[in-house]
Amino acid sequence: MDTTAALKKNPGLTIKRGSHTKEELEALHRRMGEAALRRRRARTGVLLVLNIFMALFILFPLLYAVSVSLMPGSELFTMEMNLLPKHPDASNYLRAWTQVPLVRFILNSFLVSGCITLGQIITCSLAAFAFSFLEFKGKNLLFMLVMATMMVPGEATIISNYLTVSQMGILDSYLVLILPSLTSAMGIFLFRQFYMTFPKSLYESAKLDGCGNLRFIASILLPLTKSAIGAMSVYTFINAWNMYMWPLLVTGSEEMRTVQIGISMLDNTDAQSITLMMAGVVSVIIPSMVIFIVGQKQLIRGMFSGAVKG
Amino acid sequence: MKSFAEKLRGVSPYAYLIPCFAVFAVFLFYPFVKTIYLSMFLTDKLGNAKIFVGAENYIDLLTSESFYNSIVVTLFFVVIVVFGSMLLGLVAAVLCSKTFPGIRAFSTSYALPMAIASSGAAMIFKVILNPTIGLFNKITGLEINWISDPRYALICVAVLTAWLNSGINFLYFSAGLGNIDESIYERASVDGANSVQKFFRLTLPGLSPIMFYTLVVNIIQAFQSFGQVKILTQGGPGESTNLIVYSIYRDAFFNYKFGSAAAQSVILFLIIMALTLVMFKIEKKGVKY
Amino acid sequence: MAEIVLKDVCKVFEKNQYAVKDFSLHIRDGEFIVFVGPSGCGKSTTLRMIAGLEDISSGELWIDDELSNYTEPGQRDLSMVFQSYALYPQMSVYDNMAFSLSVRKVPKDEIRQRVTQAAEMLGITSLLDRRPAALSGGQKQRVAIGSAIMRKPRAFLMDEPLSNLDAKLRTHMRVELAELHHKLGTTFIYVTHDQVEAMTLADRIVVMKAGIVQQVAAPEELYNRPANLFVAGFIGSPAMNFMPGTVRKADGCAEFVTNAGQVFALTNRQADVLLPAYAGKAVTLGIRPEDLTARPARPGGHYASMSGRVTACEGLGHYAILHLLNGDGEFAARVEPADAAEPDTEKTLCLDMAAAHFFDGETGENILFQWRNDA
Repeated sequence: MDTTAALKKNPGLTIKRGSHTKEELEALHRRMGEAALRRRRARTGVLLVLNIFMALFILFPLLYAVSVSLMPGSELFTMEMNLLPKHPDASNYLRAWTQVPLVRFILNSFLVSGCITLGQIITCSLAAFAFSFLEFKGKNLLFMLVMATMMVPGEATIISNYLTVSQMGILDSYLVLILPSLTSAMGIFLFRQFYMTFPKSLYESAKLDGCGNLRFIASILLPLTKSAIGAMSVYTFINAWNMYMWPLLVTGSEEMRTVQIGISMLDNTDAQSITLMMAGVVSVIIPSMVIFIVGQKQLIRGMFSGAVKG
Repeated sequence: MKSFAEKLRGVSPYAYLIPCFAVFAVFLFYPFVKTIYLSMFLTDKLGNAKIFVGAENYIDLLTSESFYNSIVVTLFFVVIVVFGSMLLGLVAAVLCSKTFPGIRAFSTSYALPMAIASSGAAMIFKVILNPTIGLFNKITGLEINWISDPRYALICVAVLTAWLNSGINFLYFSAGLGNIDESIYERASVDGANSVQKFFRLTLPGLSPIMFYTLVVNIIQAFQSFGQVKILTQGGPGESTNLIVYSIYRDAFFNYKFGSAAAQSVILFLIIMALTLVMFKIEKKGVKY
Repeated sequence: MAEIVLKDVCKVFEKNQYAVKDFSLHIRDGEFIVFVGPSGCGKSTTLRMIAGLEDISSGELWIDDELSNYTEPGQRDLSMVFQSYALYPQMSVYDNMAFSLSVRKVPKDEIRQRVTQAAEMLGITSLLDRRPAALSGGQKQRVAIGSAIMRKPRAFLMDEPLSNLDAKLRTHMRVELAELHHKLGTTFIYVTHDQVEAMTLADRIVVMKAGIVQQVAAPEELYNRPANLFVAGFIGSPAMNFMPGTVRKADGCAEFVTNAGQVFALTNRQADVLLPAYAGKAVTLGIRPEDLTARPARPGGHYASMSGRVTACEGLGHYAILHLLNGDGEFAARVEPADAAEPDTEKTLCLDMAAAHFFDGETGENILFQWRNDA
């Protein structure tokens, strides 16, 4: 568009064949080459600037949290603009880590999220294997049932689940945090979607070679679905790490709290310790963020390679 | 060991479904039925069904102003959240659709909110929106007590939720953009379309399949927001942010009205199911690809 | 209607890697030009430079006497058919065809009239309400062509338009394209790697290899008078047989001796050109399978005999292709069905020396290129 407009604005630039000198042509080439370069640079520049704005906007709450967490309490309580700490120090982190058992919370969360992730991979891959490679009565019906569970919001069953686990007498334990999340319809769907891309002959030839089902899953299917497992792991781990309502209901003692409930304790202390609170928040966001950043590529590849195509 | 392996080899296909269906049975099917059952009873403080009341819990709810308020507030909330988070995700995805230096870092940033817990995010927003020391009032020069003002509290929670949900929308839309065949843009260039025409006539329609999927997922997700309400507003001020999920929580675990809470759960389920079904109906008619 | 002139056009990717080098061509108005060559030879890149989808690194592109290097693709008034068809998936066939006009704000009535007309011409009127996903490959192809002819552009650019179709449909569409060109009389620039498409469709063929034009010529000329070893081997199926060797003088007449020691006497005219310049130097003899026959095709012709062991025989009804092996390698010969031979038998064939080509052993150039022109 721009070049055409330029050509129209400067009629001298329109060159007819046979009616130009070599110099005119060279000048045009030079001018247009420069214009193209300028345009390309401008386009990249605009894109970059827009992206910087957008990224600042999206990341602003996180960046601000980090900034506040490094401020001494006195610096926060001014009416002036205080985006960045003037005298950053890590004392808030020290206090946050000593005042509440953050280490314990983080370990709890790691244990719970890790078990949930592992459990989901096992149960979901087993079920997805049956749904994609085996033939049995009621297969479609059962699969529909699994898919239908995606429509039931967790909140619709949370009361009954609470009553169930309290009757079972397992409140305030790791078990109660892990057990209800040991499988997920989403996971089954994702794995099945992956397995469906394998030809049935893969399974049949393994069968002919005398390979049992479990060995087929362990030595052929799982290695082939690394990216799905990666995606599942990242997604499940982050969701488990960020679980809020269920741990809130079923844990009472400090020893069993997960990070998300644990940091609310910092919220409750007193209004003066906002900086402390932010240090705690940043501390517990970091693990899930690191896992996300490390596993992002896997996550995207696994989620979108055939799994979700609209 | 060998006989064990032999046994496993001959094991019925259903055995592979046992682990997951056991979990589903105990923590999904059973409680689902039990919730419906509970919703027709009055309960004691331990949640045991005591007196059968039939549809009374539902009638009470449907005639209670508070519940209507919850529904209206929830719908309003869902609309803002879905619109906001999809817009954020779409803008970010479009900004990252052409390569430029540093694109990896930017796309990670845009997806990052999906890794953030609602509780942590709510605490950060609490600081930003603090009436005296909060940055938002400082930047805008306003003196509004955002969270304690019934006019603004809901919008604050909604904006926070939209931010949280925007990360995954970015991923969905990026995947959607990636699925659009590059050659149709080239053909459009030769055909003489400008970039605005390309965006509205190729890019947006090209996103419609993923757009629909994203819409459904977003609506369901928005209905289930809890942590941010619990930490930021606790349903208040008044009942201005008393979303259905929060109302369920409050009725069950503060007021010990398990029957009523169960009835609300059932209604929540029905609303979500109805919306999903309606949208799939619309989709079959409207969005084609 | 356009005359397109390319002068010394180059496409340079990073670090002096030429995708296309010094491409010069004068495409006459209404001509059907085919760019052909193996994949990666720069034929598509050249087409995309003409379309404006790729920048021209250096050189000049003249469309109707106007320098168009810097004209936006949409302003060049060309239309393009892509290998993947590039149909807009969310639009109906009608909207697909109408797109290029509707972005130019052509009145709705006129669009309707032109779409209807083009649809009738291509026999796709019944498909207008469908979406691309509901079409077969051949139908998509027609829609893509329909969308291209809507605008009555100055020239059509086609990038391997038939390569996604099955063999039968490809033959059919090839004929239709030829008819379309005849009917419209517009300039066509067509890219393909399929020499049959090139030979049947083109007024002139541009053979490319590694970004460099090897030869520009009409199909028959390309076949009969290839400029070099590459063109000779690329055009024709089965491919031309090659035998490396040398030329020498022996008691009054001149001979070509292959590396394995087969000796073929040259014709006088061949000897006149080859002996002075190439005696003792590496020369490659090329002979097309149809000039390697079981018995002399013309009485009194200059034939040499050549024998080999039959490795395979493909009967094709009205003729058979014999595959032979001897010290100089493998050969294909086209023989009468009656002359077909069993594998593992020895067979002696007649090589029509008058039809032989000789290529410079180092440069690959056709040594008799000029001479054949005179003949």
